[in-house]
Amino acid sequence: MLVFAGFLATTLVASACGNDVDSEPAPVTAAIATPGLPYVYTGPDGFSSTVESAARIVTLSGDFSEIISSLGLGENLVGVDLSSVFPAEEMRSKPKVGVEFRLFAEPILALDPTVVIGDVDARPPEVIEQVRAAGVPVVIMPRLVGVDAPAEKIRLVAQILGIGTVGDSLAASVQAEVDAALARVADAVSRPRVAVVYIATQDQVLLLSDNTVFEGLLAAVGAEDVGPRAGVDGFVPLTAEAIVAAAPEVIITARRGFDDRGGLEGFLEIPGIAQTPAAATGRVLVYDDSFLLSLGPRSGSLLDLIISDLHPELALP
Amino acid sequence: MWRIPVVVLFGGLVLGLIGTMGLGLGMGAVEISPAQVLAILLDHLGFDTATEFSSTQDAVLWSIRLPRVMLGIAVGGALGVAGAAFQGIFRNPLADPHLIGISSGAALGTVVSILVFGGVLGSFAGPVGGIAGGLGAGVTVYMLARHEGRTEVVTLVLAGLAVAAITGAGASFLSVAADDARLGSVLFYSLGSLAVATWDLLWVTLPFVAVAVVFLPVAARRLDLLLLGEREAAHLGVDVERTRMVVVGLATTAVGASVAAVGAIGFVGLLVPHGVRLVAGPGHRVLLPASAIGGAALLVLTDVVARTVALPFEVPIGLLTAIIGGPVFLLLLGRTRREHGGWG
Repeated sequence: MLVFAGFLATTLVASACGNDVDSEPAPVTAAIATPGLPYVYTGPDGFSSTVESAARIVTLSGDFSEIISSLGLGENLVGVDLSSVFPAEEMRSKPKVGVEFRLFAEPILALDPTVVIGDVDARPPEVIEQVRAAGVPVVIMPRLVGVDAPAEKIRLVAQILGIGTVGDSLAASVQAEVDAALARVADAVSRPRVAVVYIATQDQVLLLSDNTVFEGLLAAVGAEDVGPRAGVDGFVPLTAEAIVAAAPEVIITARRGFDDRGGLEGFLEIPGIAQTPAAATGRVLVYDDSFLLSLGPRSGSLLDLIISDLHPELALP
Repeated sequence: MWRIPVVVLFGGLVLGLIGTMGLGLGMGAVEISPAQVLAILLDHLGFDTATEFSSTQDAVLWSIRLPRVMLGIAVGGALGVAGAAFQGIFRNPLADPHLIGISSGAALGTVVSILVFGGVLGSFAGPVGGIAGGLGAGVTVYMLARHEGRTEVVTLVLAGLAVAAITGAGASFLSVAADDARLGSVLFYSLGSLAVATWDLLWVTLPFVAVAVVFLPVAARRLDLLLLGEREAAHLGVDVERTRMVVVGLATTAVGASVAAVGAIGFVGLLVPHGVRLVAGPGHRVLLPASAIGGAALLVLTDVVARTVALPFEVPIGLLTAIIGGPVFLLLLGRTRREHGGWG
């Protein structure tokens, strides 16, 4: 996990040095009623924070940015981390606070937030402590995984921001989409062996399995996860032999690293991947990073798409 | 040889330190004007001023920047004075705590101690482990480099290199394998950062540094005599073994606690004492305290650059000290070669 974080941070730093932090926070004009505030939240770190106002929100992870935008509070987002890329137009204009795995206190505090939302991957703990010492509530969310995670996350974020009822209705519609997608799996007759591969940097290719956002997802979409077979727990560097031994029939990967490799041709040159059944048949499924990895409001359409791609028989009349 | 008067030297160093403290408190992502800095500090001391400031500015200055600047002073002072002490006691111009493996040993000790004794020792697990690890590395390197009553310049550095490689790899391995939030990242232990500074961290680090900065100068005269050679010093009444144990122990205490707090930061212990010797000569009575103040000023200044040059990110501070320190190291190498035919 830490290895992954380190590499991700390094890659992102390289691409983000040009970003400036707005030292003059812009006034917030959006005035959405937040009847549920103040809200007292106790996170998995055992720390209780009282959220008084949702007027100025800073997020430390892209999934929260997307959820907050879907909840209609996008204008209140005064700062986001570098993994916040959806909705693209909106996120491009937001000041950036760095990456969740390597945070610094002052760039966050410079945005004068009323609440900071991150999850258990936020590091280092001293920086969280510093931001809290400055009187800003820092909400640390648990790691939610599985097919119910998107709705759960939406509900929790909405509650913390004082708009629980808005959250409940969004969560219900997202859950309905997820359920509708998953219902299609009943008719599937194939059960392909799938590997989820994430290219963190040019020379760092990771296999994702249990203990990541993919926990339980592959089983739910009617596929077999090769991770446990390859002895994988969490993110591990992909070794050529491990992926050959796991013999996935389909490989799922994220767009950014795939494109950096030069598309399918370059991807298939990764040692070990070329020797898999998936490479032989060309069954490599590529999805946008934030779409694939965030377990956010678009999870229903993501699962629907993955199910269609994994089970071609479902498209038949 | 030309020397600047002691009063001028210390006056300049103290002014420099105050100046860098001003920069350290005044600069950062959150804008706080000099007048507001002063007003916030006075406010905490119980004086009211007419200058207005926000609660965010107050929190940033008092809870983040001030402990950070103070920790920078403590760690910079520790590295400066320890560098001067190691160079004196080993009679070796290259004895920087980083170059001779003590910092890496301290990093390994810190990681092991946090993992094993974190529950028992709490926040003191870091400094205690750092000091133990530093001592272990220091003694090992010293034994390897000692030959006929003196340490060989090049052997000391090579032994330090080997010990640093082994202990550094051990620390990196553990911080990857243990995946424990109490440990910093690999980058943290190899390059250092003051971003983790809090008042609590300052209070567990400062006592160890203070002991070294206060008591090392007591050994100044004995260190001066040691420069003549160990046998000569012994004839002049210096208990060489005891002096060596006390000086190495004190210097390593300061370095170990510093590494535990902010990771391994290289070259400060090399740069500062050599700079001071250049203008004030080799006498330890001046060299030791001047290196402490100079080290403090240098580290606070470097930290200002580290945290403002690439917003919203910070550059690891050890990267910057290496950028300045590396070339100076090469200059030293060249000069020694010209004057004494090298260290071979």
